Amino acid sequence: MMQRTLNILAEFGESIRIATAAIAANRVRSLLTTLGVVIGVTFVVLMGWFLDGLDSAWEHTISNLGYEAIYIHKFDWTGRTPWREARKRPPITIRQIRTAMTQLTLAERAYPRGNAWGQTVRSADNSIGGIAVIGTTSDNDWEVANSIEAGRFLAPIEDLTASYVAVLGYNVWQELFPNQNPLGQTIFYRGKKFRVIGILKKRGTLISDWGDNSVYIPFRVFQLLHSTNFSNYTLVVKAPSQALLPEVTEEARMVMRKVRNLAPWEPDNFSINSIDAFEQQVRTIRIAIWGIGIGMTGLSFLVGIIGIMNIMFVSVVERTREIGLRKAVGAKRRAILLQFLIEAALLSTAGAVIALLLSQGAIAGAKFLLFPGDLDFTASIIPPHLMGIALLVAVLVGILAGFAPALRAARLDPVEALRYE
Amino acid sequence: MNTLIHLENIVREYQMGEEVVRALRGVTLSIEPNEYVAIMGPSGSGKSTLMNIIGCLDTPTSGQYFLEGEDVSDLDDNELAEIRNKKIGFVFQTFHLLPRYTAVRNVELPLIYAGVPADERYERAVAMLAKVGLGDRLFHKPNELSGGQRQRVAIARALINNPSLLLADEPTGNLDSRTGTEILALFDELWRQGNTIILVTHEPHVAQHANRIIHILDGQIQKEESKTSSIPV
Repeated sequence: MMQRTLNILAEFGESIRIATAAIAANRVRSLLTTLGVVIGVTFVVLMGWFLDGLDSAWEHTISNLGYEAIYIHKFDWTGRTPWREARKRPPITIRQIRTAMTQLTLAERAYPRGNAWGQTVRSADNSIGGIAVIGTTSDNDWEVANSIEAGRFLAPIEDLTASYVAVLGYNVWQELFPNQNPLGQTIFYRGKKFRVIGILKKRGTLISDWGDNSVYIPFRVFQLLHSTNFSNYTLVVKAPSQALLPEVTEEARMVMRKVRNLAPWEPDNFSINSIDAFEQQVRTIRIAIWGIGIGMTGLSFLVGIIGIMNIMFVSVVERTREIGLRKAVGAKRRAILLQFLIEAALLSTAGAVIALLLSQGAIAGAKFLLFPGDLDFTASIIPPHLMGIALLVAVLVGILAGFAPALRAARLDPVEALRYE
Repeated sequence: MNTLIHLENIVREYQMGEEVVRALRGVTLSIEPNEYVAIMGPSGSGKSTLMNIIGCLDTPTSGQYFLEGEDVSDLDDNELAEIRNKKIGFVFQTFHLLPRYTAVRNVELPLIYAGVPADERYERAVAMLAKVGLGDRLFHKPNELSGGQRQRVAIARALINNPSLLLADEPTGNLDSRTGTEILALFDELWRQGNTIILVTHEPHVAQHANRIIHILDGQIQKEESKTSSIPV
């Protein structure tokens, strides 16, 4: 047993030395051989890196929205109800929202919200377009509780008295007040002056940055600025806890049906949106990335395996005499098999190391050169677990690719092999 | 009972396409420890096949081969490898050194497959190279050594695991006559130190170094010569 362990250790060490020497002796050939593995591992790593980022961005979004809230709106945010169909629904009016709010008993809070997309706001010197102006009440404060950079959110009194005050999302205040303190400054929206009372931290990501491109104003002000047939109102209902969300949702549905005079046989003519809906969108993105990624990765690993297998067969033929000699002086089949498997695995691992360096370069390039700021949800260094996976996959690919050549080498007849010219 | 090698009616046949070639047609032979034997014969006589079987590189089609009393005629690949590793040291006409390895690493090779730890391997290889007169060439690679030096490295490798038998196949075939003489002198010396040596050759003057000459022709032992003592001391 002891002797056997020693044997395997000695053979293992020898195999690694042989493999490194063999790879070093044919650097260019080895490099080209590992191209498939390099591409494959690069795909895996970049894919994993992006999905990791997506996950953390998603957690971030959840912290913005929260699992406890539902958003009752004319449209379905994920498109489960086709837009054409939802368009025919009667608008959700402020009156309906106010009535519903008085009838909800289980909710922790319920409040109205109006969203005006594609708006332009100005400061004295700058302007920003394509932003969302959100009219809401102080009850909306929970959504931005952790995101106040300076100042404060809307106060109850400001809604009651329809004060012209505004809370600015990150991109908005960055754009309007680049080198100044925005608090107390004036912005212009729809010809009215608003005093800035709060600014928000960066919350958004490449996937959803509307949070950074928005301005919060009191709901009553919003109402005054928009015509009576403006219809983009949402009833936000927040449950006391996530566990109570189903009951709260069900009550809200019943209340809304009553408020909108639906007969029992009629379907809901509104949508109850929740974080689940977003979750499904994120899931769809994930699946799409995986689908493309796995296809590409599989293909490149196949190329990698074939490349390494081919070069290993060549290597076995080139070293026939060496194999014969090793067998003559006592190398068993196992030792020869191990030697070539390790060489293949090392070749493949070298490819993975190159791929890791390339990926790291690509990540740095994408984050800091191509999309500065937009990829902030991703890590700047390849996460360690991905490195582990990449190296493991490379070793497996190497062993898979090296097995047939190694077996051929191990089975060579020593007499024939020694005589090989 | 302490016979080193006993071959009993060894037959070795090869399938060459349709034809069966009988390389050995019933060879019976015994060799005692510390004998110095030359196997002679023209090419195609079967002497290489005989050497391969004695060296456990090949197994007979029929017949029995006892090496130190153990029947090795039916062992599998791995068992034969172990026997070769422990009991047989090979010296080849073309040296068969690994070109990328230094002399020390080449000599260490059999010990790697014997599972000897690295530092012990190194020490033994250095000592063995000194013994064959290459103490100052330890870290030279084969292409930095002369033919005679290469063959000395190969001999050191053959001896490193204290084999029961040194098997040399035309060891002077690739050397000029002066270097060849030196190598043969080294074999003589090794024999005097107690090693058992089998030389395979077709050159009579090489065979003259042995104290027993076995002539092979057409796969059979044609005749044997014995001398009371080997040549020149």
